[in-house]
Amino acid sequence: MTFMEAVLDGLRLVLVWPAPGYMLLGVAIGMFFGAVPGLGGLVGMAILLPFTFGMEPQIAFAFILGMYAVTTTADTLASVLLGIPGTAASQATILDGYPMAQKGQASRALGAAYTVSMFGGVLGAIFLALSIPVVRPLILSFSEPEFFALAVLGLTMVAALSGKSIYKGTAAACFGLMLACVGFAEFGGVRRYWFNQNFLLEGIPIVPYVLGLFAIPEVLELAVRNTSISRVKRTEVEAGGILRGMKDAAQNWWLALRCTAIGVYIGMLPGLGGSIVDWVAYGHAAQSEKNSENFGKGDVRGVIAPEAANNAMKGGALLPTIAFAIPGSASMAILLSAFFIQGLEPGPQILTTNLNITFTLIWTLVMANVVGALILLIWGSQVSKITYIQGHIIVPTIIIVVFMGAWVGNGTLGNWIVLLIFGLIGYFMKLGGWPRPPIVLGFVLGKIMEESLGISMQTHGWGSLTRPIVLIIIALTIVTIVSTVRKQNRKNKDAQEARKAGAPKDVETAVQIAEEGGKDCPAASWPLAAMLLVIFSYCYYEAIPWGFSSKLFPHSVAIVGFCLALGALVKDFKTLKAIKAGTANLDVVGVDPAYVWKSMYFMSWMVGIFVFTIAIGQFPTLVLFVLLYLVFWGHYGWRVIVIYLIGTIVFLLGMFNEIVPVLWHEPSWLPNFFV
Amino acid sequence: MNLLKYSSFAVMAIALGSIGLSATADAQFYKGKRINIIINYGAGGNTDIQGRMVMRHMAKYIPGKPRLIFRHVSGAGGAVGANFLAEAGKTNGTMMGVFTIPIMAQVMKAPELRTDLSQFQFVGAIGQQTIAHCRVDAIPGIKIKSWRDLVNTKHPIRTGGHGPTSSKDLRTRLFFDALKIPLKHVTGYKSGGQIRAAILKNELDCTADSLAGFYGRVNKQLIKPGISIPMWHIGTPGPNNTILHSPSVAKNIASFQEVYETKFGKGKRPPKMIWNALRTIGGTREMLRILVFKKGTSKKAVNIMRTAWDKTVKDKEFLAEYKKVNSSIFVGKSGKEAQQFIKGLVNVPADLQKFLLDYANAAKS
Repeated sequence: MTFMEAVLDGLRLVLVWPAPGYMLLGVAIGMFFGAVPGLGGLVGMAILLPFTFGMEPQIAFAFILGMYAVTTTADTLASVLLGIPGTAASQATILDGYPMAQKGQASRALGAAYTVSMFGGVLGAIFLALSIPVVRPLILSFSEPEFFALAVLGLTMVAALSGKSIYKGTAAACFGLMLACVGFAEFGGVRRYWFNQNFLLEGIPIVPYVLGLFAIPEVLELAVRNTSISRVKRTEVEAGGILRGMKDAAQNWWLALRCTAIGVYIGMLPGLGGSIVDWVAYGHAAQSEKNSENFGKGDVRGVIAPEAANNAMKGGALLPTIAFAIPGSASMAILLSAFFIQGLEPGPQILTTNLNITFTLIWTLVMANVVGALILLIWGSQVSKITYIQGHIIVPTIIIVVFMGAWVGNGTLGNWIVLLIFGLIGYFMKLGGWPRPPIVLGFVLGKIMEESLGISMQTHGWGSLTRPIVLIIIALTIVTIVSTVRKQNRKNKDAQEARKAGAPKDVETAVQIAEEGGKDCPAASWPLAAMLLVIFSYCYYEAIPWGFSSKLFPHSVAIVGFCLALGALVKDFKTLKAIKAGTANLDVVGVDPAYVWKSMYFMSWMVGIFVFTIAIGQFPTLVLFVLLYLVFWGHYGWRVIVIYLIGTIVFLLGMFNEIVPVLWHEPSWLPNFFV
Repeated sequence: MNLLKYSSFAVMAIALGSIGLSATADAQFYKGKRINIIINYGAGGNTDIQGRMVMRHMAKYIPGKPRLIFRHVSGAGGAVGANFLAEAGKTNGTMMGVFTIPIMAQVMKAPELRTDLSQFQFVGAIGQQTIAHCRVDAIPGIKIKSWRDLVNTKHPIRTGGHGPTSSKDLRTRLFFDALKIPLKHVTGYKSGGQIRAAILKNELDCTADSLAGFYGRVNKQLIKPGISIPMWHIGTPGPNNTILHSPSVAKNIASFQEVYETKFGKGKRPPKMIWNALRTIGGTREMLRILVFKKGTSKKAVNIMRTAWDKTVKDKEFLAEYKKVNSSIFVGKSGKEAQQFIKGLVNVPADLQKFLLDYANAAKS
């Protein structure tokens, strides 16, 4: 079979009934799994795999790949509309997607996101097809030293994600790197920072971690201020947001194309994958685009970049899986199992003897991406209306989604502890003008860095640094650092000149935007800096008795992090002094104690969810929470409350007891509800 | 005579009636219920795939057709899931574990394992042997054709593992130390896939994988393309201080004892502790995956599931699928056999326990 014959035969196989039907079913399921935070493609793959036993290969792959392809398209919904990452691959989307929703531009953000998702997904699949003949040397040339160098390059993006305070951004990144050290250090056989809590041995679970950092602060604000997500009235928003978003995508085609390439390459490298692809693409956009000062405040390019990359990544991730039987992620490991169940042998031979099956996968990816994006584009403007709903009506739903999203992973109370702790940290970071993206970036890169550094030193020693690709990446890192410093200096100079010229400060619109590190609030910031000083000191002290390989990374991070946190603390005290002297610059904001106390009061309600779950069980607690919230916070009438409660019970039971059954936490003194 | 006849009929009727009643009661026990199956590794891994496959077949033999719900409670090499079942699990038969047994955690007294594995009530167990494999070009200037070419080398062989205390690292190092082959051990790889990729990139030479991993992945990725060859399998602990060839492994793949005796002479053994450690690890492979209930679970539930397991392992459809997925015949234990066997596994002598701990610690840097 020639290459072209295989292309056409692959297409034929995908179009022969019932394969298209299964693909559409897979797409529908995938949109659902992508839209609900905490589920995602991995859970979907694990659930669908048993259904493929006994299916023909083309049908089985149409079904599971149809599902898998669109989870990173549908995940944009939660990221943009609620500020909650739908899956790990759409964390960066919230940085600009959610502020756009707050500005009444949700449908524009969705339009742009779906268009580039389709673009990225299709191009990623095409790239996969074109790369088949040259894939081997490409993948084999990347090893642990290259991964380490790439992670270091990734860290240079921290500057672009740090807003106005490089100290805070880099200290936050170090905090993320330190958090990545929590758990069992395989190479040293040491349990690190686990406080005798088993759930920490696998490291801090990423879904509750990110949900805590980003979703909880937004929920607190919605509950306390009772505003809708959009701070602009619906009547004031221009119609045709979806079309405008599509136009934005077309105008930024070059950015989308670059981020597609980033997505494909990161996807190809086993072990990197979903959790960093969006950050790398976002960082690239923030660093390389002109007029980037609005990134983090609702710039559509901040949505386009991660959304193009996270769909393109999937085509790339298929490459090592089918060409070498090396799964780059857990989802790909499941796909690999599907190959074995089908009696197919992934490896170089599948690219020759079963090339038509390979093209079946590629065509499925293409079609599923197009179909999924079109459906979402059609529904996007309707779904975006959620952003105009009053805060008190939407808060209980978001709380349920966030808590259950954090629970789904492995169903332990430890996930909720992580959610609440990082919720609190995220809230104070936002309040104090600390950028949150670097803490996530540090976390995801830290794991890769430490592991690849450890293995590199064992396999290649210092020779790791002289490998050709490593040298190229080091050069790129230096170029990035130099250009970032120059850019930052230019910005500071411009700002100084503007101040000297007496220019008014940036116009603060009525829209309260989620500026990441964009404001300076020393009164709320210095306690965080002080907390980091204590944490870094403790982490250093705790690591002293460990073996060299186990303490090298945490000690290095602790020292650097301590210095940066100290720098941030000194800067905060200087600003506080300047406020007293009346010489502080215009970007400094104060703290509203009433707002903070009310937020903490609501936070105690969320802690109450945790405590009551232990006492009376998870399901009754969540229902009780909704009831109490609607009565005491919302002051709604009984009709609304009854309808809401019925909806909540139906959603919880239907979703988490039937469709994706979870293990509910039930105290031992109560009989089982769910057997 | 009539009395005897009537009595016999009466006894038979009562017996049949009891069986009938018992069958009806069994059918009622799980009717309309759901069984939560706890899997102690993440989605998509070998434990998950094998567990789901086994339970799918076993479901046919569970009276009352309960709904099976799979949950992953992963972490700490399977210890988190085991703790979860032991501490939070119900005893009414609605929660069971399908685990890769975290036996080394118990043998080495790892603090993360808070339960005694022998206290679980066993429904059944699946054995999975370990096969060592090596790159054909691991020794410069020689194309390795069999383990005979490897065992006398003075050139260090590069081996890979997951961490000093992991079972993979321990057995790989024990193999080479016993055979007195110099090795350069690289550890800290997160997954078997990463180790295979490192072998593919010629950064490592040798490692050991489970039978399912070997035939499912290594065979296709490394053996068939001619990059590596199989070396030996660990074998099954036998009588008189032996490690026998496992029935689940092809005859042309030698057991470790065969390899050792070929190099050092018939009946020879490496230092006692190394040999005992290998026998212990070999034993753990006899019940790598276990199906268990929490201690104190209703006897009825345990009996129903044990019966279902016994029927499943005789099911031709199951055996055929097992062979297709694992490329090897099924080797397993009934619930009662597994319950006995686990006692032997966890009761490791103190000196061996100390040896294993010291041996693992020696590899920590």
